[in-house]
Amino acid sequence: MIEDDAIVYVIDDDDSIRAALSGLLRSVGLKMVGFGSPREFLAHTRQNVPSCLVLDVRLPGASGLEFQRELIAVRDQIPIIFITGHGDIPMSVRAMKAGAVEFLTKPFRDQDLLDAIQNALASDRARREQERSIADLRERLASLTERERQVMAILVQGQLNKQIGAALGTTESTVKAHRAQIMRKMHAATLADLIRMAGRLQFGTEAAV
Amino acid sequence: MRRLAANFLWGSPSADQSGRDVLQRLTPYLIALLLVGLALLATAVLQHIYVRRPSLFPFFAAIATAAWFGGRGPGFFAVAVSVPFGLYFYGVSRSDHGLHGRDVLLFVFFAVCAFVGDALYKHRRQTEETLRKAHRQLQTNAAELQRTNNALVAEMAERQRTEAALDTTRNELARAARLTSMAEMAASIAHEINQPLAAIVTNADTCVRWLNAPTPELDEAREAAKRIVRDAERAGQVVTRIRAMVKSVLVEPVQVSLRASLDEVLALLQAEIEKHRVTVHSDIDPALPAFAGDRIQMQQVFVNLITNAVESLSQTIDRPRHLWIAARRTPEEDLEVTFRDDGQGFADGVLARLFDSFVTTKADGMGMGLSICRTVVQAHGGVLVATPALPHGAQFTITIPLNGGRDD
Repeated sequence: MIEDDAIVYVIDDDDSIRAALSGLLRSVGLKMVGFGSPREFLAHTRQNVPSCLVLDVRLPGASGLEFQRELIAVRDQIPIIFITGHGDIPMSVRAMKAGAVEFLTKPFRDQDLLDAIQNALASDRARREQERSIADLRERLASLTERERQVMAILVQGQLNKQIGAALGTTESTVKAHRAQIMRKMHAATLADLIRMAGRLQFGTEAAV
Repeated sequence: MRRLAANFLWGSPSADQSGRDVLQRLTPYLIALLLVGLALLATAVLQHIYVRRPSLFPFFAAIATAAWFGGRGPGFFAVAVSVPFGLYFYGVSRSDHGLHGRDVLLFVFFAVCAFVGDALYKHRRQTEETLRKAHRQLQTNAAELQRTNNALVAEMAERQRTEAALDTTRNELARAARLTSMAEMAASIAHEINQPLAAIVTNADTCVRWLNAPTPELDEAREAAKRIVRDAERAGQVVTRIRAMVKSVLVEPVQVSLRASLDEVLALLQAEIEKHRVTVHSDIDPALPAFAGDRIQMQQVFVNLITNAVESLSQTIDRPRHLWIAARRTPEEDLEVTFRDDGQGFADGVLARLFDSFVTTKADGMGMGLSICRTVVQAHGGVLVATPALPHGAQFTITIPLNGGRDD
């Protein structure tokens, strides 16, 4: 159960709860950073690693649910696990609908929380993976020349070299050369690979020549 | 009157305002002329019947009528017109055809009589008019008075309604405040206890994890166990604080009049009692001495017990609803207050744990009321006892030592 360098953030105004959670997470080798209020959490500079937030519903100032809305509003996608002393069903439904991973009522069993944390970290990791690969693809696409991009736009529509040459007013051998460059720069092994990449980048639709 | 005659004679007013004014002003003179004409005709007829007997009465009548109709101006006009005719007839009736000073005097006398009569009549008319005006004014005033009176009556009814509504609101508020403060307190207590409890569970789980590790981490397990102790102590402190809070709510005791306190409570709950058609029989010894205690706290106990009784009675439909409240001084120098109702009484098994927290027979009850009541009475050094009333209902007896024997 040893994690990479994931961090679990905890916001709960109760010192005992933070201390208990810190002990529990240490026992499973998870790094935890605790805060007494959402403000402290926002003031903290977070590391760019897989993370999740364990959030108490009852907080001084804004409630945990309000803070969840605030995070969504600023497109902060950190997965949230709610813990509460008096959770009712409508409250939990609201939290879950807004995208919470789990809604636990205190006192909860350690395994329930740990499972929820694992799920949250896994989804955050996947999201980061996804974002990273898209960013990667964007970078590769940016390295193409204008001409290569034009060729690629037609290529991913399934056109033959000859047709591309005719469409762009150039020879088939020139297209062939462009095509080799595109495959190399985009790290695409096959045409199918390239088409999938174009799909993920929504290249064919937005950048059609 | 003048205008009426004008309208009658000349039809409805013409469009020309000034022309109409002139007409209106001229009308009495025309009427005077007409009247003198009639007098002339009448005199001619009379002269014909009673030859040589001069008769000026028609002229006299014409002058009087003209003056009556139109006032002084037309009156003079009638006199002026009548004089030549009168003199003529007077002359005709006499053989010498001459005019004598006597005759003139007679005419002057006529005219004076006519004007005096007219003046008298006018005065009377004015007096009558004044009287009528006064009468109308009186009627107006009376109507005004009647209206004011009606408004006052309506206002009083409205006020009574408002007061009744206010009473209801006040009672609802008192009840709501009682319930919400209890609900809030219970929620707050639950939260205060639950926090350390949650921490304890997590710490215990953690402790077990460290111990279960392939190589048990005793130091970590010990730390977790220490946290458990700390959190448990905290939970204990919460309980101690609540106990202290309940007691500390009792302010320094003052001399409390039981009778006044009960009267206030009954006044407060009046609407509720009446709404459920409960008859309250109050038997409070007028010679009761004051007792040392917290008036508000004791009143809350009374409110609680009476409200409970009324709620129980409100479900009683097969017999009259009675609540007996009695207060007396016992031979043991105790103050004893009993609340007895013939409502639903206690269900089997409830009596033994009646004063425990969260025990209730009510669908929407919190089960806090009687528990708090007993705490308050005990804080006054007294006891609160519940017994079944016979044949139906419940009886609660509060006994408080009069010597102010608070046990803490």
